[in-house]
Amino acid sequence: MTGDIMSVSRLRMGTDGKGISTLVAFFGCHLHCRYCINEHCHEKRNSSLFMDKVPRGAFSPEELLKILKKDSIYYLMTEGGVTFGGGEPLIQAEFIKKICQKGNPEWNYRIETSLYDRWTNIETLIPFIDEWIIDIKDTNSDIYKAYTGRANARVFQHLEGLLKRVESEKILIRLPLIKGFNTVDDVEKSENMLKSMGVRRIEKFIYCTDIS
Amino acid sequence: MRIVVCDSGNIWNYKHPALKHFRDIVLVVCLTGRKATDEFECFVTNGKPDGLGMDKYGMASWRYQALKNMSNSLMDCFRYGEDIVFLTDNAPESLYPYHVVSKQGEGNRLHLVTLAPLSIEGKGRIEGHRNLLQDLSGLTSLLYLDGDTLLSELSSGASLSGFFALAEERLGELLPRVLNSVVDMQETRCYFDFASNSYIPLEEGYDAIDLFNSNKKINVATLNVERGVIMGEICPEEIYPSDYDWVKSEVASLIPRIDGKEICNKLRQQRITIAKANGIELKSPKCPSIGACAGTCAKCDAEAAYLLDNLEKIHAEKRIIPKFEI
Repeated sequence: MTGDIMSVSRLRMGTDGKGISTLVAFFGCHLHCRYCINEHCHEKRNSSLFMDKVPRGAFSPEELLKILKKDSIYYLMTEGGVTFGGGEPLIQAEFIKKICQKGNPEWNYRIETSLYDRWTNIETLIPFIDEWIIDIKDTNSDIYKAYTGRANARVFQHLEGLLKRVESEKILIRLPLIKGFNTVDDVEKSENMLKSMGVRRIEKFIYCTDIS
Repeated sequence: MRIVVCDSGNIWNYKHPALKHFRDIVLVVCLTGRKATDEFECFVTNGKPDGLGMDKYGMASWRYQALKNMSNSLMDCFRYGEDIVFLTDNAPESLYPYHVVSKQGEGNRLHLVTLAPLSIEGKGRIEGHRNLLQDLSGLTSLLYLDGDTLLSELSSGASLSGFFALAEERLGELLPRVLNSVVDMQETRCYFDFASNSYIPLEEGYDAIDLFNSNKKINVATLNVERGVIMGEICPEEIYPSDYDWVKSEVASLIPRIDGKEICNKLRQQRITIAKANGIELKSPKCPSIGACAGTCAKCDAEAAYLLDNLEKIHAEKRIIPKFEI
């Protein structure tokens, strides 16, 4: 089994969960967000031979762990660890499970996800993930569809399911203010709705749409 | 005779099945700074990404420059007067070994086998490939397979993987003929004529051949290509995602960052602290490096690995892990 990996970014200083972490970004995502910063995650073909494109590597769990292990002492000292992102990492849940099983149990394992994937993949990772960092975009279905191209009903079904299975402290919802798509009022409504679902940790932020 | 391929050719690389019959004379030039294979002799450059790791085609490429800087060592791989056969393809970087060696004087007979980029490839690639073939005066022989002509042999709706499979097969079939011809070749400036399937001498030199304008234009509608391909980027499907070590090292490469030096200093302090706390002897001199830094490097990684090894020897209950806020 190999992972279809876009990048392995070491020494993330508190940007992807507490402490020092390594972000493993995977190819593949069902959403097509208007301001996606990793738009190439949708590429079907390998453009690695062309130096102006993002390479993609087929890593075995052992190969990836060899890289992750390099920063082990820093993970331990800062309560950091490994963050899986992308793209949508849930799509490669089985590979991530292998990493978590073979990796150091003292590391923290986090996932940055939209929850837009099959429930079985979420369920696969519940025993292994220490923190779920969920980008919910917006709870309004019209806004969500306009921004991502998809309906958001399943995202909320999955969030409900996750809240039943995982302590609320392990779930962090990120709520972006996205210029041209939602407003401060929309974000507030989303926040209230999420709190009513039982979400305890919500991080609101302004999403930077100028990525040039 | 030596056969030279580079580690990152699309078709001619250390994985081409035809090369195993010539194992003793193959040299793999590893442009990315890592040994590509144990199956063949490798010449490994000390290339490192320049700046943010983006690369250009041709002589401005950091891969090319790294190879050029080691040209004397590369020439030590060859005997004086030896025939050197460069197997290259539509990837501009596959031509780098040929181009670097061709600038080193006239001690060897140089033979080039290459595949022209397809007309649907990016302009940068096509130009990069052509620029490396501007001066062919040092060549003893040239086999130039036009990519579009080869493509025209495929039926409408064929995929690009079909093209690469055909190119691999065609070039593999030609290899024994090329090598036998090289052994017997008396003349200089020979060009492979596909009609007669043999090399013919060109008295006027390679300038007599209009290499770059002889491409037949293929209607891309005949190809079963995805939009990403029509944008000028193509690659063999079978390497998606890539198992090549050099690709994986690109994926995991360290990128210089603005706060790199600051991170390096913080991590060094962490290493010193954890070493002291656990009674591990650690010599960690301050880094004298100035300039762009990824926050860590081989030396820092080696210290971290050393500490981890020693920590694991200490019983878990006696291990001290000092906490750091970042």
